[in-house]
Amino acid sequence: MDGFGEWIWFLLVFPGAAFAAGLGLVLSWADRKVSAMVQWRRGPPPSQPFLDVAKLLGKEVVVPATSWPAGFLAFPFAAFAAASLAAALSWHAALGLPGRAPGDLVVVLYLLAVPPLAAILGGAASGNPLGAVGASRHMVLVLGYELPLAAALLVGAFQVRTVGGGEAAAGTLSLEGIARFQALAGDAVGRPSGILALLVALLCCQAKLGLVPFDQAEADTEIAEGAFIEYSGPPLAIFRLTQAVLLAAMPALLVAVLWNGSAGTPGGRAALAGKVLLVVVLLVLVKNTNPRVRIDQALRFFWGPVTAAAALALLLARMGW
Amino acid sequence: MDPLLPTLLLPVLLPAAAGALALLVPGRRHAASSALGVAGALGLLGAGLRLLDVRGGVSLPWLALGPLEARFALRSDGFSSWAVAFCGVLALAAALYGAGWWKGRGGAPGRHTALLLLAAAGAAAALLADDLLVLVLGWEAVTACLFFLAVSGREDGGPAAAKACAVLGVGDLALLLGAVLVGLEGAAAGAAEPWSLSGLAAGPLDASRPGPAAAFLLLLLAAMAKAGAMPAHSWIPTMSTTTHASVMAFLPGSLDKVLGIYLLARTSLDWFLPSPGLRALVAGIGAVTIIGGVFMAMVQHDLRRLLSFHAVSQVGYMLLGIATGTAVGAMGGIFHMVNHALYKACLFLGAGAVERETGTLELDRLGGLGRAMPVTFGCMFVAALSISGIPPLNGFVSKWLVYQGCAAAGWPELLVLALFGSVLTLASFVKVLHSVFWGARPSRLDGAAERAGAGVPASMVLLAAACVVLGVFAGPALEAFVGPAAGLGSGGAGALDGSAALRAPVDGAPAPAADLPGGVLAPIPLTILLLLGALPALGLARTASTGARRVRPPFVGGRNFDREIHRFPGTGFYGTVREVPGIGRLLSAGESGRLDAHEILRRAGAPAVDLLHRAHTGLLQDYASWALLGCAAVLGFLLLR
Repeated sequence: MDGFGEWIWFLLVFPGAAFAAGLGLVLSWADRKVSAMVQWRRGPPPSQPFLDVAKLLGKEVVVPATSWPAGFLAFPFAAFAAASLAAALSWHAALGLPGRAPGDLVVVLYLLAVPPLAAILGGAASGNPLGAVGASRHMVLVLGYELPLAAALLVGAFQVRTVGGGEAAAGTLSLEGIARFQALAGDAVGRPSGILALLVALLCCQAKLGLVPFDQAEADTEIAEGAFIEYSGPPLAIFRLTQAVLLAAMPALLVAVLWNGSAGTPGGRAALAGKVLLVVVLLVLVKNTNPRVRIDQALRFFWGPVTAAAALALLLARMGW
Repeated sequence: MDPLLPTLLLPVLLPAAAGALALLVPGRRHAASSALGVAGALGLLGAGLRLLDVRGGVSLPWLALGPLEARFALRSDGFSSWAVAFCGVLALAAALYGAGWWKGRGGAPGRHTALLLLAAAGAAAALLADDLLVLVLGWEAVTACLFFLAVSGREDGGPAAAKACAVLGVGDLALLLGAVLVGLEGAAAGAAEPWSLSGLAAGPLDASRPGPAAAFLLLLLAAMAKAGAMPAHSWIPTMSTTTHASVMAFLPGSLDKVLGIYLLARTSLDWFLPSPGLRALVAGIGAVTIIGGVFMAMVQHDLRRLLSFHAVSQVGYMLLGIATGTAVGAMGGIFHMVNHALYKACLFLGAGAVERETGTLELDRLGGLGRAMPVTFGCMFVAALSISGIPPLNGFVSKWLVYQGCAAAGWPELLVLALFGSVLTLASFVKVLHSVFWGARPSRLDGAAERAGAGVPASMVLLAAACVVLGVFAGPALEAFVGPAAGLGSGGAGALDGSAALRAPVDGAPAPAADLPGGVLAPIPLTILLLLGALPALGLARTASTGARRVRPPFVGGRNFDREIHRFPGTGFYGTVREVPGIGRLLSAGESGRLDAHEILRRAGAPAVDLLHRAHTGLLQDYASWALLGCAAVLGFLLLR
């Protein structure tokens, strides 16, 4: 990517904002459809997520009197921008597209932290006490899952494999580098450490997307949507679009780092669709078969068994397993 | 006279002269002391900028101490030149802030300004030193100024100042002993000027041998105490509660970090060849400091103590980066030192502005100040995002470099801990922003406004703007300043492009697979893309929206909103973290001082101190007996030798 036009296309169209938001809304329809099937309902038509966003976009903007209005209204857009860029980088690596991306795994991890942060800051800046409760829960959840998520994803970069007769690890944080290493040595999920890392990352993904059992931050029956309590109309629509973009970005990132040995090949791209869909279906099934846990239980879960599993995965990866 | 001598002396003499004059300013002559403060800082900055193109030094005969000959030697190289100019920027921010803060207030701004300037002069001397004794003297001057500033801030500042003095005193003693050891090692190896720092850089000591390893450890201890790494950190949180915000911003928040990390970088990169074990030790201390410091920060209820623990935690990234033994990691550590100084100074200054207007920094008693203090809020917001590592601000770039160093060194576990520390930092500053600037404003703060002089907002805006500029334009900064400081002639900007040469591990790390690209960070495209990324959403919202905007009270379950009742203080944000088994106990132990090295040593040494107390009888004959016994011991030693 050398020209400015290519950058714009990369971010705004493919594989960035337009692609990720569109795909994310389709995947969110899949989520609703599978959830409905689990509950013996028919579920909505495929156009429903698009219509929901369109309807919200047409509403008036309501600002709470206690808020910091500039931040309250700007945070959804910051969330969307960061999520779009993270999606573009993740899909760029997952698809094995040509050209050098402007960021690596660390950049993607930090960009993916921005949408939750924007929701947290938006909830806090609303001046609503329930928004603040939601913000605090959201932050605690972020604290919980970021530690094991980082450890699990680093398995892709530090898994020792036999390459060309010698043992080596990718040793780079470049998503392209990790993909190329897997093309040489095989998928990271081909080893026990990779499978464990994928399972850990899936759980973290569940929390990152705010899906049950880790939806304490919104918990509409407890704190009336928490950090989003004061959001309505277009700002809420942008947050919903951001959620959709994240739903498209997170599975792509997991696949790009841990399951990406065939990136860039025609067969690999076809398989990618199946892998992403499989990840989404797993997330939806977990969502529909578990009740919401308390925030302290969630934190203990992530800092306890999940972090232990992630640490074990990293250890096994370093040992070449 | 060597023509370089005036150029090298000016950064020391100008602030020292302005500081000496400020000492003479009577009582409360605010304007005169402010003018001298700004003039001295500008003098340091100007003299530092003149050094940017100067490479070389002067060395004059000075003292002969046994086998060691100390020379009055100064030099300017790729690190010290810009480090001095950077001290000038920090001094300017502190001076501007002081000028605005003292306006209309009581106190003794002259002495305050003088001590800040003298500390800056001492720091310039230490940074420009080309002889270990000159470095030690400049270093000591900064410690002395810090003590006098701490003790003269408030009436109850004595114990905190004594603690700072004790911890820094141990560090300074370690520096002195380390210097002696370095000199003796050099003399034993036949060096003509064993204390010459450029001589050391030309022939670094091999720290895998016991003598140089001991010297390395002593210098490491000195750097840790100055910078505030664990376990030599506790003086910073203690003195924060009784010391003026500008002092905290200028000394423990920034200048002490510059000196400590300068010493560590010189020790690790130039003067010694540290063994893998020593590098792992430094990295381990760094990781413990990151996590320990930030956990303690998260649970603080006082903004000054919270910021102080972050000032400790962030040192961990600097240690970790330098310890990786890779050029990219070292650049990350050094760049983080610069970035930390900028955002932490901004945060301390902002906290001081809040305290000036509200009379408190207890987070429970603050709230809703965002509208009343927009400049303070805006600057602290930028600085808080920066310390949390939000792209594309400067804190993110330097942390990213440290992570690349960890990856190149084959330390994924430490990389994970460093990433986790960054998330914890973010959580802590979410609490700060909510507690101070958002939420419902208590009615007793209704009159709060930014009433300080223009210097207060000017200093904060200067620092916050630097955080943005150094993030977006990190490439040129790495090329011009940070790369040369890490020992690179040129090509420092390549650290952002995945340059393989800068990632080469020194030793011991598993070799990365052949020809795989390194991590890339392109700050300018990233910034443009982030700004552009909001456009589609903005366009959608603009096109579809009715354009109507309504303001209404927040929804609290259908009840009328009452700002005194419907509050959720930020201090309640992370109660859950305390409930995690093990962490709550550790935090309690940390808060009670049971993990404080100073407190542990104080208790352990109490019997000896008690003995000395008892020896102080106040009777002349007792003291004469002690003196005679001492003389007899010396004589005995000399006779038996």
